[in-house]
Amino acid sequence: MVFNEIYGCYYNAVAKMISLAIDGELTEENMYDIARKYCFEESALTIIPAIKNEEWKVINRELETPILNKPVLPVTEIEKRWLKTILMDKRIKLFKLDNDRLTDVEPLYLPEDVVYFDKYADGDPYDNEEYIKIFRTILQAIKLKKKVDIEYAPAKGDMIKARMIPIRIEYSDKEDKFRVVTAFNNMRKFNIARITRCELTDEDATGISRYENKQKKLVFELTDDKNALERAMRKFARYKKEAEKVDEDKYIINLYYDADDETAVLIEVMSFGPVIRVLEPVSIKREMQKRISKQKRLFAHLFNDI
Amino acid sequence: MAYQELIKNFENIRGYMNEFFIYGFKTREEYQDKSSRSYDNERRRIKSYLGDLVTFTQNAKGRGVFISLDASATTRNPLYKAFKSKSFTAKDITLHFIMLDILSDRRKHTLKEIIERIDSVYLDAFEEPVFFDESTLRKKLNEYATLGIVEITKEGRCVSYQISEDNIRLADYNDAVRYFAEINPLGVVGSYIRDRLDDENVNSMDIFSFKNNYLMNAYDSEILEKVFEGIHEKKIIEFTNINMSKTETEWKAIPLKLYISADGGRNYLMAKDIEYGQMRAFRIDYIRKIKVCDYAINYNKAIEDFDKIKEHIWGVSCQNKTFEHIQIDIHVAEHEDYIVSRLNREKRCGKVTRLNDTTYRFEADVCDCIEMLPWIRTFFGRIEDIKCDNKRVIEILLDDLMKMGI
Repeated sequence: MVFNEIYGCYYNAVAKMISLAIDGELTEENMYDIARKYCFEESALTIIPAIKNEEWKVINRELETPILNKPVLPVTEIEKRWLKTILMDKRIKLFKLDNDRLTDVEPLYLPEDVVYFDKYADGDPYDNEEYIKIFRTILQAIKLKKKVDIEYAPAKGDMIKARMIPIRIEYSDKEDKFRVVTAFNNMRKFNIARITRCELTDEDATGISRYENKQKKLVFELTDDKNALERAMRKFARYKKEAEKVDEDKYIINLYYDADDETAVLIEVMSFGPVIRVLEPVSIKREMQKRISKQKRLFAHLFNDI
Repeated sequence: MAYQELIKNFENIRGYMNEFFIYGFKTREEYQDKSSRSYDNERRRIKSYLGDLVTFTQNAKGRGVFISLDASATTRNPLYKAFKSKSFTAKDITLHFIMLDILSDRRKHTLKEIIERIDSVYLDAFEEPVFFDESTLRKKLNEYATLGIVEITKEGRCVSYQISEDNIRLADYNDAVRYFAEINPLGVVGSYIRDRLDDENVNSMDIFSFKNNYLMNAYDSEILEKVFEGIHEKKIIEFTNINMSKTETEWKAIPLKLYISADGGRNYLMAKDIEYGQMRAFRIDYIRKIKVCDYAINYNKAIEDFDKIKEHIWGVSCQNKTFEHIQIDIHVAEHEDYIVSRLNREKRCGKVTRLNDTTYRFEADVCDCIEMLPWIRTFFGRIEDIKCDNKRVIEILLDDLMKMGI
């Protein structure tokens, strides 16, 4: 049962309040703090009166509890099964874990039960020992806040050798690839599969300014033909966006994307065909027009056949 | 009934969250099939769960509510929070903590012992104690046995209860949990484990971020749980499917695979329906009221049938028994090897061959070539020729180009 109160934030918050009450440290003030930190915006309005009025008989009006031991919820069946499921995933090798654990636990499903039907076929080599080693070194460096020395073989151009600060590891579901996001000049992301050497250094990763991608805005008009609105809103759901209905079947969508992803965005927009008309930026608009004109010329023989 | 922050059933809020996430521009008046009160309550709940992620737009028609976030800047799916909102009674929460406390000694206890402990130790602390009868307690213990928290042992006529053996060191799984909680179809379970790790003060750095992540599919976790149960246990499932025009249909089917679109944000159940014996794809977000039923005796035959066609499915369309041949010639200029790489990594079936220095051919036999149209359009500007058994494919592409004219 994935939706159950035992996983709920109210139970979690009350468990923390009981723990404080056992230590004799529960106050009304820290009850509010816990509710704010672990629950929803309005939760304190329910939790605190329920405790003070002794509706929930676990803490009394004096903020004392008859509970003797700090609450610990055992790992549940579905949690064990979920862990078993991820242990069977090909990417689990990236993490230092013993695969023989949970031997008598059934997974929720088998890897072959799920098919990512439009995922790229050239995903990262999760069986490659060197790749695994590099991934783990980067992971360790991020945790220890240390710099790494890397050698990188880009798709185009010369090998890069540099000392850099790894900030985060980014995974792309569609590409099935990991990239390390670094504070290194303007070249901030490196495909982990293209890193040929990675060494942890003793140098502290200090002085990192907050990493932010340069964002650009795409504006397009969408005609809701053949369910295009629903298709587009779902496909573009991963982007921050705003939508406005401007006519019976017309919508204006503002979508914000990472400037590095302009070609990918262009391709995504092209896939919708005539239901999307790009208004901004000019760069995408022009490139689309160029490709359409070229395609019309290439299809001249097919147009003639009609 | 007064507004309650917690909910008994996730189905209502699932619909609203989907609307707010996908169609942020809709105003209150445009939710015609819902009552104003229901709209106001769900909007308030979602705002309470998600805080600042819920924003408002103002237009001539009124105010729209939308959930706005950039998935690539998100290290934890904030929508999982909504799953931590299940309602409960005063008796539920009271029994939960008392029972766990009694059973924390890891010894076996009979129902009678537990009741005596509750009455003598726990409820004296309160001015108006509450009493639990055997039936209520037994029911709760059985529920916790189903959840895997409590183990029930029967020795003769004596039934005893103890806390489940739990020797899993969650801290060992910390990095893996933080990654898989975000990309696994049932990642909400991982988020429950991550909550525990946060409590244990295990390194909670946000190391991973996710590009192209479709966060909103988290809404469908309850449905997916049942779908996986059906697939894993080879059982028939019954469900209500509601389509775009809100028409409801009842289905009984053998669930075979979960098909996930990493590029379109849609998830599908691939199944063989019992009534017509046909392979079908059902949108997961259109499924309501799902139930896992009996073992499907012919499960293996259904999987065999599916395996025969799976290499010919481009998207999810799988009903055609004959395949349509398609052949596309793509122009690849010098130094444009990346186009060949694109063809090879994006083709889901068929093959790519080099015809000459500047032309590569993709060809395949697929169940439904119409499904390929979005992909084919992405090569506009370099398609030298196209041939397809389904003439409609070429008609649509030519029509697209006319409409997309400058």
